[in-house]
Amino acid sequence: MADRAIRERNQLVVFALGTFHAAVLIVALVLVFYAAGGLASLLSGLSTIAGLALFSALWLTTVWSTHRTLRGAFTVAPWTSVPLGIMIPRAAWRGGVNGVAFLACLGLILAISSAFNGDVGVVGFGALIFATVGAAFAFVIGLVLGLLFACVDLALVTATRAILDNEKSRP
Amino acid sequence: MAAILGGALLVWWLGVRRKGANAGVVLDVAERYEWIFWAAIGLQAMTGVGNLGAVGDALPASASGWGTKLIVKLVAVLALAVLSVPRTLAVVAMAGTQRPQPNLLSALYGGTAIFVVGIAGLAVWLAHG
Repeated sequence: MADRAIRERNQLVVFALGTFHAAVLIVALVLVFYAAGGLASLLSGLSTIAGLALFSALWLTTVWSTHRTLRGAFTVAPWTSVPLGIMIPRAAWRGGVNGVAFLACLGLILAISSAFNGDVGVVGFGALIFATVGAAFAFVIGLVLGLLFACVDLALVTATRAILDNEKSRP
Repeated sequence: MAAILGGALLVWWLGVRRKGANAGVVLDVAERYEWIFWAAIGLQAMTGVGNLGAVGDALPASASGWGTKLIVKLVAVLALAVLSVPRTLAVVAMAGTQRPQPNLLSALYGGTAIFVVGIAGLAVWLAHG
């Protein structure tokens, strides 16, 4: 019973942080592209179904990646056990793997979309690019984002501890 | 948005009603709320981008009045997501140690409700041009 409760809490932390990463990334990108004036042309080239599928893929791969990163990292509270020297490189590595996993989903969604439009040649050429240069590029971007979000998460964990300690020390 | 606001108000209300609900029950409801909150945030981001895509090339420039309101709303949504992580972690930590802090829970969920009302106000302001 207690183990189940701990597992559910751990799953909540994984789901919350994974969703946080995916949502913040998308909203921040929308904000930057909109402020720079490139959002309308970017979104108009994307169908609603493809857009929803892409966000769902990013959400899914990011929650999975967060799950892999936080494996064994907490027991009853979200900040016990694994040292930072292990967590940060693991987060960066998992970010890179997430980048490649998302690229694979992106490739699949675009391939299906292109196949429906009859552009089979584009699908073959696109697959080649995705599998080579694209994968390396996606890994590096994912690695940097993984590192960035690890730092943000650590800052938020520190803030949480401060809030809890401050409340406990009150008379 | 209704689930995010309604749930935050419910947990806040349970927290301030000291005599009516014990702290363990408030914490249990808070934990369930956190699942709903993050699922709703993901869906909001997904549908929000979909709505912008539906506007397509007719999207007003960022320098316009409407564009400024949209930027303010997006920044507010980012702030809500960032500020909600410590709330979720605090709830998980309190549940893990079995030491609920009713005052802190009320403050966290009251703050969330006020923030969400602000974002809903921005959305209405945006919808009316």
